[in-house]
Amino acid sequence: MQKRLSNRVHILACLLLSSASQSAHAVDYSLSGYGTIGYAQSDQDNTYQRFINKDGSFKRDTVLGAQLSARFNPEWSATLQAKLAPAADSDQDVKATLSWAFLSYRPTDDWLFRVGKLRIPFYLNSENSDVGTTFTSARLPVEVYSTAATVDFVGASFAKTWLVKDSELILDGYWGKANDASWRLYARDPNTSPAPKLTPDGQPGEYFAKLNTKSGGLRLSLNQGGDTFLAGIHRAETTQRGGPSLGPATYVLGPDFGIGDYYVPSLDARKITTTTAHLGASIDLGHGFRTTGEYVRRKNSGSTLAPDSKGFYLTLQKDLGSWTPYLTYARLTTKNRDLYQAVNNARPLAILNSTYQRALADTMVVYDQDSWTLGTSYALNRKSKIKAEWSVVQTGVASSFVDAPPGGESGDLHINVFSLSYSFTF
Amino acid sequence: MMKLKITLISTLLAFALSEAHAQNVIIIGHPGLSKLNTTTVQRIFTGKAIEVDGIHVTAVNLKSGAVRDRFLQRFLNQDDDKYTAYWTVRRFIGKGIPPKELSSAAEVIDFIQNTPGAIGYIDENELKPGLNVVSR
Repeated sequence: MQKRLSNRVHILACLLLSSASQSAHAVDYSLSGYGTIGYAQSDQDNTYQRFINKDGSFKRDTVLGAQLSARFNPEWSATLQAKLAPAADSDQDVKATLSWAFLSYRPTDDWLFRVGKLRIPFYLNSENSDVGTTFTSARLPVEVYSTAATVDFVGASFAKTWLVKDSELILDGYWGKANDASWRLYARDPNTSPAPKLTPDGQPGEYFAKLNTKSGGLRLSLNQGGDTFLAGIHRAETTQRGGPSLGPATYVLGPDFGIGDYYVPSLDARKITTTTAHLGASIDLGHGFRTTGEYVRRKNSGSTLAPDSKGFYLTLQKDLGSWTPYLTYARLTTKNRDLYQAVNNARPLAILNSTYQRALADTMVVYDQDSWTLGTSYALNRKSKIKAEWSVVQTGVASSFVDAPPGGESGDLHINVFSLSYSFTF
Repeated sequence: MMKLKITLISTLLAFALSEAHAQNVIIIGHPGLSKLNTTTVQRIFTGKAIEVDGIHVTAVNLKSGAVRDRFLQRFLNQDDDKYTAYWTVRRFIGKGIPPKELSSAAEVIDFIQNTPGAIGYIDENELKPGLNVVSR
């Protein structure tokens, strides 16, 4: 079905491109690009956000991209954007992927229709999250920006704009599918029977759930003076790619055999339906001060192992010419923290040993963390920025952003992360 | 003494007037394009408007320089850094590309005369007879 949809989109895009090309007087091409060379290092052996540990890494934040836009006339245009970055479904590979590949039709000032591969109009910086020069912080707060399996989809979108005096009200809507989504999980311990084998070789390490998602949503944004206000509602259905089930829907206490509490898988999750509500604002406080905040509530049905979460961040920044120092507080928690703790800490005797319980816990996506971030960006010119940042992360019960070592935990950790990056556009 | 004062004041006034004259940026459009107010000009050059009175418009910018700076300040009330940053975001969120940039007033005039719906700006000193001034 996904393949058929994708094919239809490609055929439609080709037909429209071809007809638009023929009717065009002269196609106005525009090639642009962006990139970030980013280095991050923490004071911990435990790897944070896939790549950041004591050894330091360029992989977390480095990205290169190029965009080709073709304007056939004021109504029709096409955009293609490709990026090179660490793969979403492998920690070892670097992949070139298409972020945008769409045809755009704007019949009047206030309507915009797009079809093809698009990015979900979600948070304040969702669509430009790869372009480091367009925001101040070295890294967008992971507590809000990294809680979805995918940010891209193949489908259609519209934007309706109302211009009222100096204000601009925009309603964005979209519907589409993604057949290349993945969710990263981490197996802490080497596999020992009868625990489920999470990684292909049974060794500790990352593994990826391959997913299909179908999503749609609406976002209303108001731009007034230098302020922006957002509210959005989104619905997504997630299923396993190439299989009937996403795995257990939850874990329940096993029968009492007098060996202590232990948990066993219960039911299969064939589909997880996620409803996400989101609020955001970026407000000019005057005297060079700006505050930006976003809150997101994700509600799941179909599984308690997936992140049913609340996340937010609040940033205060001060514009001092080329320098823009900022301070951010962010927090993310999931509802399944108690279940995770119970499963992870279960220590039954006999055959159902703690490794089995820990392996079950490793199949859960759980977050309980907050962070303080102090940083600054420095604009070298209008197209490049250097950013430096110090972030202090504190995990509570556990955090799936942290890869704990064999026998270890991702909870109750205090992580200092230092980041330095150079971003540019051309 | 009085004569000297009058001469000095006259000279200063003439200098000030000539400076003010040099600072005028005028908006010119393809023949047939109607007069535009500042808000409409602002919307066209920020990609928020693509049509005026049913005619599709195509804006062109001058490359970075004094005339462009004066245009941005006068009609959009912002500097080039802010304007470039605005278009960087808009481009990379897939909602349009900035107006084409031309190097000189002569190129702007040529483009506008030969492109239906075209709109651009030049220094008033570059104004030639027959050009359609849509805003100033």
